[in-house]
Amino acid sequence: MTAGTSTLTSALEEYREVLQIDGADLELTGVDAGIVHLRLIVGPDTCTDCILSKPMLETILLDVLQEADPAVTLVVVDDPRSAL
Amino acid sequence: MSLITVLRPDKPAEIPGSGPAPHPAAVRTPIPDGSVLTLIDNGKSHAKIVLEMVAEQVMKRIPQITTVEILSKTSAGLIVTDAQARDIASRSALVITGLGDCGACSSCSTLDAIAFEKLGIPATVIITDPFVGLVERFAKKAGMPGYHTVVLPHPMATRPDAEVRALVAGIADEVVAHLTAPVGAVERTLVGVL
Repeated sequence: MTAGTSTLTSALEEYREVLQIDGADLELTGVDAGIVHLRLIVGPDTCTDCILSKPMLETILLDVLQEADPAVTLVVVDDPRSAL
Repeated sequence: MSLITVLRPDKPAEIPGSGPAPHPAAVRTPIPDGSVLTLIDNGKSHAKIVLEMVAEQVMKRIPQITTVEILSKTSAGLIVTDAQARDIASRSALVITGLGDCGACSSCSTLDAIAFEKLGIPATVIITDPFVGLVERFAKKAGMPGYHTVVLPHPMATRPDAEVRALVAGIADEVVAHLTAPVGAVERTLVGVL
């Protein structure tokens, strides 16, 4: 069973702070059977090249979230850069 | 029957060399005369300037280095390819990567440095302070937990050259120590980092 969203949200804080330096942010949009869905938030002032690629982002966030909750098996990031 | 190769851009990234077993860094040995120092410039603003200033300081401290080569990457969010790394490793005694002034570039420059360590070339990476925790995660994933980094204050991109030069002078000894001293023997100096 996956821990509560508050545990995951707390775990994400560390990486959100890093993203905010580059003008981006992350939002937890859902948790379903060990799969954590996140949305990368970018704005007009975001340095999009400064943000890790979607695959690297998902890899490192899986590491971050599994530390907080070993039941997390996959992280899926909705990355608006892929639509640009 | 033909073979179809499916490339999945959505697949979680495989960090080069990632695996459960930690990989040792390159052994530091005496540097021969006429050696090459290679700088891996990630293209971030001020990266090349910082690396060239660092190289200038390193050459004063390691006179065996007579040549400095620079590889400028096409994107700070890319990692050097295996072919590039092997080519550079074949003629370099030491490698310095940087400048980690954002999340992607810090991570990729750290993975670049680790790639050279795995090829037996002593390396170090210059990043800025907010990204220390992030690159530690990548170093662990790449099989070198606790990999050393040289840390400058963030941001470097907007600082005047005179200030950059002063900050670089403050890290030069640490850079040289990382490149020449036994791994793990160097204390981190936080120059100008609050």
